[in-house]
Amino acid sequence: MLRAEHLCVSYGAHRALEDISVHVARGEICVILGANGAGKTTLLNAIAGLVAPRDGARVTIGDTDITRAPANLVVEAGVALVPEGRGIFGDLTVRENLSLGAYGKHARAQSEERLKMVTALFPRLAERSGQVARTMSGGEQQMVAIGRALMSNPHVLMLDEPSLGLSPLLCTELFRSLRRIGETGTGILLVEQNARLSLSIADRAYLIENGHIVGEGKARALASDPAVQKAYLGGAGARTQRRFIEVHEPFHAQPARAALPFSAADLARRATEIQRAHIEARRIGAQAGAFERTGAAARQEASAPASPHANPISLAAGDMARRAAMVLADHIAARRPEPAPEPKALPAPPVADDGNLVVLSRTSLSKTPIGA
Amino acid sequence: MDEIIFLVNKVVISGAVLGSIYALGAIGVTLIFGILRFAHFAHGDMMTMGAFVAFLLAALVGAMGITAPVPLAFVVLPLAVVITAVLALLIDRGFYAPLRARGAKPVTLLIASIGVTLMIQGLIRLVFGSGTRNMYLDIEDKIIFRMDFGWLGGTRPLVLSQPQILMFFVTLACITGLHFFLTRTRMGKAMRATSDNLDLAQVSGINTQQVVTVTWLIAGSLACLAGTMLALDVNLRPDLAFNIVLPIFAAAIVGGLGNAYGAIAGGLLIGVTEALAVFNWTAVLRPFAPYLPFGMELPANLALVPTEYKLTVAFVILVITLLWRPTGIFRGLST
Repeated sequence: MLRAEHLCVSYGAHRALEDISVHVARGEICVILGANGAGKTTLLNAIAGLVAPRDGARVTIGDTDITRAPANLVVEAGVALVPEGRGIFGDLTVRENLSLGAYGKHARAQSEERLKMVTALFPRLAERSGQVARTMSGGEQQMVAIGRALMSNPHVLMLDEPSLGLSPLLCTELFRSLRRIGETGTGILLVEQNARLSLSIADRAYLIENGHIVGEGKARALASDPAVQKAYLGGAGARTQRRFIEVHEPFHAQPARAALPFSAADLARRATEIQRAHIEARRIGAQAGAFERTGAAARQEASAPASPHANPISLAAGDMARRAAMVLADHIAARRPEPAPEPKALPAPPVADDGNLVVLSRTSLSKTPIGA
Repeated sequence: MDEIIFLVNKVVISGAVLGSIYALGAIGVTLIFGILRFAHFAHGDMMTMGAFVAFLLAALVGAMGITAPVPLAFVVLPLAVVITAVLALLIDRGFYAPLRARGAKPVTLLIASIGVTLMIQGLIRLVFGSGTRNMYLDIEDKIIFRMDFGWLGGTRPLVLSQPQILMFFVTLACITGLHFFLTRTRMGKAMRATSDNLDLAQVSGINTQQVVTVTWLIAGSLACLAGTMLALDVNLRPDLAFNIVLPIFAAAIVGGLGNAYGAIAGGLLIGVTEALAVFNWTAVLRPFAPYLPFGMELPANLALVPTEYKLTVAFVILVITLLWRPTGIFRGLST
């Protein structure tokens, strides 16, 4: 239904998208996974008509060509976008937000039915119809944003990071409603950081890196693919299979890589060094203090979006530090009675009796040697 | 009693008149800022331009021998409004739109609007000369209503001129009309949405080019109304509204930039405060003069601010408002 082919977008000298082609069928949920700055948002904006792709691109919805059409005509043709962050008109009421969603000519005719459908999907919006959108909670604002986009009666709904800033519970609820929207026949093109949750509702997924599509496949197949787990599922998927600590791709070049599987002590020390360098270089406090947190908090933080200013390498460093912290915190929690020597003011790395590294996970408090 | 009537004449009436002019001007400034995110400095001269358009039309109609119970400049106002609105749109298309298309920063547009200011004033001086003109044609008289309050024991009448009454109704009609336009019509809602979040307005299917066009038409219309009413109340000069563009900006900022209701409130607030500040309180305090202790005498002029420094009042209010509420009385946009 929606078909975007050979999209190239540049911001000045910077190539944000390099010959990207995606398609979404009727009622299909497609998710686009990728790190920050990979070009996911640019892709959605290029389809929506907010940024112009270079020559050679072709975007169609059904039989209508919407390449380089102004944004208002793209909506009219049936592609709606829920932009990243605040996708609402904050100073307007919920009712006005929704009615503006049905601004286009063909949407206006059916706005009554669409409103019924949207309020059936999000009953909260009917209760709050007179409220100024800015004064609502984050989850409710996201409902307004999605409801507004649905009011245009789109064939394809594009969402840019809808789970951003929502609690895990609200996220699950949100994804459940997305699935219901998909069941009505609306195609969904979803950009998400929460790879696990989005892959669980998606039919297909695209992996995008540095403006290129590096992978594509059925969501189910991708979710169980070790490479995808490694890159996008934060190694959490690996934990269920093998107790094995993995690092991100940018660290292939690191010499210590050869010693894999290395001990948690090594990992922690390296992570600390990288982290310290990273913090000094970037002065971003987000990753600082990860070691003081409990494993659970660190795990939650691991899925939190990183600052858009960080580059992939420092992101990977932060990620690795967080995971090291998780391992350590789990270990400390399990081994609290034992006094631990503190090199460099850090808790001691866990060392098992037989010389192998032992990782104790809080979910299963069984001892499992690494690499076993 | 005379003192109260004097106070009403000097503060309530002239404050409301000045406030209405400020409000009509500030609505235009605030709408343009909300949609296009730049301070349109030439707005005062758009008001002057509108007044001159009305003056020209009135002279033409007068030459045809047509007379009316109200000044002809008021009769031709609807046509003058249309012409000024189109001129405002042409100014945008000619000067600001090309700059926007090339991604100019707001400050570039501000400087361009100062250029437009000089250009409009220059053109008006070129065509009409730099002298002061009377908006009333030679055969017309400015009707002044004097309401006698003799039955209350006063000797002074309440003075209201015809243009002041007309202005009151015009302002009321404009504000009501604008309110219904912004809250009830599709285009009005689209304007508020565009002012709120431009990108989101676009992806909602709003044609933002159309919104920009309508914004200029409304701003131009209100500028013409305000300019003509001001010229009817005082008289017509090439720098008629250039002198009040700063209080107009102050009114828009005090009310909260981008918020039309804020502009109305800000305009009235600044207008009435200016009238209060330059009011000679001696006139009101005179009955109490015998009771002053130690043989003190009332000075001849007891105004808080001398008339020639009236302009500062707007800025004092602006500074106080921004200290107390940096986004204006009605939460406005920040730059």
